[in-house]
Amino acid sequence: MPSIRLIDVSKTFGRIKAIHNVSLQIADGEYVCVLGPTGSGKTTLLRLIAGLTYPTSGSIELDGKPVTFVQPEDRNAAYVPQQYALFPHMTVRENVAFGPLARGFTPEESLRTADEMLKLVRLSHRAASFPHELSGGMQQRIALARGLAGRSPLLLLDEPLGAIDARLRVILRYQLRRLAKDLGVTVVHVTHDQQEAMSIADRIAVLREGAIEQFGHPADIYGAPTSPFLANFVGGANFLEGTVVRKELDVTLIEVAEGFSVTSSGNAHPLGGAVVASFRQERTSILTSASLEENLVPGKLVSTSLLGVFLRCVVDLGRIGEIVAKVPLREALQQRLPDRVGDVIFVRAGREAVLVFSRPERALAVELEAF
Amino acid sequence: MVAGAFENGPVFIRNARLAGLESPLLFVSFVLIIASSFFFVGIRIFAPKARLPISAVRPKLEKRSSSRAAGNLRNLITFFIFALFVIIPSLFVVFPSVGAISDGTLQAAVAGTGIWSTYWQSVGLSYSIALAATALNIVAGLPVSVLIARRRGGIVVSGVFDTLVNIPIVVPSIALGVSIGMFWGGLTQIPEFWLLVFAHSSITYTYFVRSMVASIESIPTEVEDVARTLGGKPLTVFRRLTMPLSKYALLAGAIMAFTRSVDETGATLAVAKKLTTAPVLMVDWVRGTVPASSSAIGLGLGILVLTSFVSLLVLTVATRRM
Repeated sequence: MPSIRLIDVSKTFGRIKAIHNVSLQIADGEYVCVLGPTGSGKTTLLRLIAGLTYPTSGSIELDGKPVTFVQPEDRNAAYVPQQYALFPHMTVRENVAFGPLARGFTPEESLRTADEMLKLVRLSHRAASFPHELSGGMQQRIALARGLAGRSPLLLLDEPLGAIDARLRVILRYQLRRLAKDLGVTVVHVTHDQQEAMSIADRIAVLREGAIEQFGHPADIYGAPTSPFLANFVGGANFLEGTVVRKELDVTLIEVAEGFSVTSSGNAHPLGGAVVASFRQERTSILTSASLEENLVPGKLVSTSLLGVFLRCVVDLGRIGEIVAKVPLREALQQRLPDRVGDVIFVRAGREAVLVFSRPERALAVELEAF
Repeated sequence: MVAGAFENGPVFIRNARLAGLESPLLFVSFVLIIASSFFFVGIRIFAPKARLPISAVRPKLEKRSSSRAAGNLRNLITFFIFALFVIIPSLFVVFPSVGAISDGTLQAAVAGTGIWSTYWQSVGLSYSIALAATALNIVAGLPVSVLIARRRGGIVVSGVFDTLVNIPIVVPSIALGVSIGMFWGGLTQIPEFWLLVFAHSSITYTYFVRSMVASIESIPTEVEDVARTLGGKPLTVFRRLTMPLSKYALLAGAIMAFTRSVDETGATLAVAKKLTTAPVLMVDWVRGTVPASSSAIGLGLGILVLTSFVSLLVLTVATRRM
């Protein structure tokens, strides 16, 4: 079975640590997204699995067999790079037939496979074209067909939708997943787009500075991120630095500014501990009149902007600072929020929406950075 | 042939050889090789560190000098210099050869009588040597091109190769010829034809390899990477991707090596003892070692120029077609 296992893999280039003690196990037929900001080591991780570069330490297994230093052509893992790297002197059909030919199929078999794959990506009518005659989206599909044609059970995609315009990107990502599932291939899909990862991955591995920050189901990463960085990078959130001032059985009170406290559920953090309280922008609601609920703070509505089904509201909470609330559009229009810019409103986030993290070692702003 | 009272290194070597002064000859060759290699390596190392004053922008001056009139003037001067210093002098030899048509020299040349029988032999020899040397370069130069372009064997090894490959064009060819003649002539008893082939391959090696390296470097490594993961063995990848993608460079490199070999004089003078290639024969004619009329010299050179042009043209057209 084409499973992937990385055991304590590290890769250094000179003094730069590109990959740092990564252990990862991907099951047969799984669609895994490796998500991370630019420079987090995503491509290096993919190239290590492909055999295009070798680890400095650690080992890699494919299909249960150690392949750490095996040549790429003997791994059966098709790599689709970011810029597709189509063979410019070959027609689309010849491009796709390259894999089967190289793997020892007869020319007739290879071309037949190529035609099947082209049909699958709906580009049969462009079989005789050269790559430079095709649009970016078509080139992407050719690169995919070429990767699949050699019957590699493992597909390694490096930002496969990165060069495609936003609308088409959304359509293509679902097609990509469906194709992979139909053919039963195992996919490692590298991306920096968290929405893309969230919407198609069975599991997401978030990579940061060459190390795996969290590996889990998209819902877990969104619902229970293990660090402020993750909460910010996947989904985005508001962050307030504070200190634990009171603990009860199931409630923790965090002072985030003089005279202002946030209540959260759970009690994992010690009394007096330096923490970061975080709450999702879409779980932050805006009230136009005061009430006696907890975690309700008055503030001034600074600006609003339309984000599809949400209205994004920036609110100045005085000493606490600015926060962002994404209010469902219907609700926002009922409250006439766009007309209330400059007015005093009330912001609320329920205690179950508040996630508490230990204060990171470096400054919060640095921790949240994702380039 | 232009030089008279001023003798440069190569001319000195040539004269020394004719005068039978073998040991000073070796010494001068040695000095030339060491000095030019030393300068070249120095430039390779220090030139990238030198700061040229090209980063400064002078908007007013540059705007004025970018005007249409200034541009036209510049183009005119450029063309004039090109014509006066490059094209006209290069083709000037055609004029005496026009006279050759009327005074019977052309008939003698076509019939191959008198000095012309040696002439045609020399031309044939030159082209045979050029063909063999080019073939040798293609076979031997390809792997080195890949080694340099793809940094196989690490940055240091490839870098050293990259520098060493230039030595044949950096060193004065006659000094190189003396060195090659000593190596092959002194160590082995191979026929003089092959001695010349080897000398010419050494000299033209750089032209071929440089052309190939530039081309291979321009192929994205990703293309080769993908092909490997699709199951292509390194040789398959080279044959089906690297080679077809650099076929123009291969032809261009081969053409340069070929034409350079045909007109190679310096090293040939130093190596050849019995055989006479076309350019060497022309030296003899021009110097009067072999008595030849001025129209014969004009025609002889004219034919050489013409055949070079034609072979270049044929190869260029052939390359376009591919």
